Amino acid sequence: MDPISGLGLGFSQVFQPYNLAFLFLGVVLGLVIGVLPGLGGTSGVAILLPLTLFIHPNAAIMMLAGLYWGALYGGVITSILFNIPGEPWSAVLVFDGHPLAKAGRAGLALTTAFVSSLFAAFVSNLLFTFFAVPLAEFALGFGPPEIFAIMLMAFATFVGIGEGASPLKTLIMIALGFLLGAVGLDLVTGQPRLTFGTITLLTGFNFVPITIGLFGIAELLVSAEEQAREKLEEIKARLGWHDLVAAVREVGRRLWLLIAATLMGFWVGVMPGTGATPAAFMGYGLARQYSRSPERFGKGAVEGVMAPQAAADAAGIGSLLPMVTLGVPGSPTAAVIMAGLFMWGLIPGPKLFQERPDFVWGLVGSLYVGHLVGFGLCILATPLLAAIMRVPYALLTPFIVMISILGAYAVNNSLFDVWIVLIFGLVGYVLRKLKYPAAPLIVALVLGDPTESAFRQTLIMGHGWPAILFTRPISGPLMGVAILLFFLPLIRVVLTRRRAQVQQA
Amino acid sequence: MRRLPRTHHLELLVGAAFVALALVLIRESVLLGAGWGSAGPQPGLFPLLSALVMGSSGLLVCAQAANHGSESSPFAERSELLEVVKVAAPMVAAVVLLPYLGFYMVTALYLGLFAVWYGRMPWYLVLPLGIAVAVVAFYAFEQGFKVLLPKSIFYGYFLPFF
Repeated sequence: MDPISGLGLGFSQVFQPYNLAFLFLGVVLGLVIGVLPGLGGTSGVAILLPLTLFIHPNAAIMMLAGLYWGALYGGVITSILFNIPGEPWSAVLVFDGHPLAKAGRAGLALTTAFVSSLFAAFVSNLLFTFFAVPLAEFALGFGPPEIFAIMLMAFATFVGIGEGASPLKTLIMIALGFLLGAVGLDLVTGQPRLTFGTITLLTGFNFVPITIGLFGIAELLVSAEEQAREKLEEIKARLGWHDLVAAVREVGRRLWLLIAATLMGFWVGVMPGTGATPAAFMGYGLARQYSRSPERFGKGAVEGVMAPQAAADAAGIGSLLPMVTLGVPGSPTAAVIMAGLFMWGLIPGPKLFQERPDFVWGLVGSLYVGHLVGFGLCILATPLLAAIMRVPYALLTPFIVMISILGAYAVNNSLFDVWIVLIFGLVGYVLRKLKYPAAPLIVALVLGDPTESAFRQTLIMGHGWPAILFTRPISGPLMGVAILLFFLPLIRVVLTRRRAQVQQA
Repeated sequence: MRRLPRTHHLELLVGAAFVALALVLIRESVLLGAGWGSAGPQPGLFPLLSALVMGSSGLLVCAQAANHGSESSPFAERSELLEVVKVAAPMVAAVVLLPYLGFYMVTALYLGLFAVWYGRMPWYLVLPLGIAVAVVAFYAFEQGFKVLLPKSIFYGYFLPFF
């Protein structure tokens, strides 16, 4: 199907009242989750994932994607007004957004972020719409070696350019994700493995309770610590028409920066592995590097709000592209959404475009509409959203815990899964404190089976040798990039040591 | 006053736990067969490789922690740890009580009691709120979504629906 008629089909899907209602619900929930500092977009998607079992997949994907956009917008509000990032990807906005707000220009800072987001979303949506089909068709010719090489690249990205995490800890978390995924019946021979003779483990670990525990509960516990520290300071903001006009003018003056940040963000998003958070930091770096007056950064430069937000939103959209076309999520949030696809009985990848055009194009259509909904709600309801920050932690915590328990239980009606949430929540808290990254584990858990089957088929094709990975025209270069990324931390260590030696001499 | 655990103690502990887990899993994978079988690679191969990566990385993490131990900071402040325990303990209690009191009673009690105890909110406001949330949840899930959640041991005796 060509993109134009695909988009037509997509919009006809989005504007069905049932789907539109869930898209709207998703964006609203995303905004709320984005504003709440104890709960991130990835955990939000994970907690609500089980509840999507009870609605149609087309509406479910729109709701989850809408939640992602809502969280991308919502994090902006707390970063700028409260100096507290509601989301990891909006942490950068604290640098310049909050100083702007302190200087009495909160309205401008907020609307600039929203307008940049909307602009980036629109450009990225166009890229998504026109790249999806060619990419899917290209991927149709992929064999197991190519698929394995792409998967490996996704994990190499975490190791090579992970978000400040130690490469060793990233490797541990990836391996743990694979091992948890391997528990249960072997996918080729059907033998029970790593079950230690128990019956409970025969069905394997479900990713939903593990994700809810590692992200949702662990995040709650980390934010419990913060309760011991400071009290909120808030800057009030009411967005007016003049703010919007001023923001559009600011954005118009720096259109090239915005386009550059968008394209870069989209690319970071499409690259399997990391997503909006590194994109936002890279967007900030881009803006400062090419600014004529870099000394203004950190004191309230409008570009310092514009570029990171555009890059983050573009990366969010970009991260869904390889998820639907290749079956490799571009970001941790996309990985959780992909887990949803498996749950609804869909297999992400190139064939999805032929088998379920209504689903895929419905998602594409919802990218456009969801962003407009999010933008509109932010412009109209920022004071209301900011008020959510003041909901007491003591009320919020039991609420989130009970929704998490409910979600984990509902997947298989098992109390074992509820215990998994609790255990992974407590363990996840310690791991988080020691800076073990949670996202690689989740991606490895979701991609475990596809990675392993690609790996085994590759070995069969190569008669027991992995050399075939390097000799095929597409998988060869991919493997090269993957290996380079894996060794990047090591190369960096060697370089810094050498530099230190030169300085000493 | 007892000294608080420092970060490198926990680093060592967690690293060692990963190494131990890896050793157990390596043994399991080898027993399962990690070589070449009639249908290609045997089921244990992929877990074996993963466990090897986990074990060796865990060893290196331990080594790093041991080397840089002296300069590590406390894992958390005493006041912070206290908050975490105060939040985590009711969570554990809720999960333990779930099979006995059922989802809805646990929701009402957890919501109400936690807000009174931790948030110091007036009980006459939050206890009714907890009950209201539980009742709404009951109608939404049991009747709306048709999800059957765990019921209390009193279910069917003298409580109509919880």
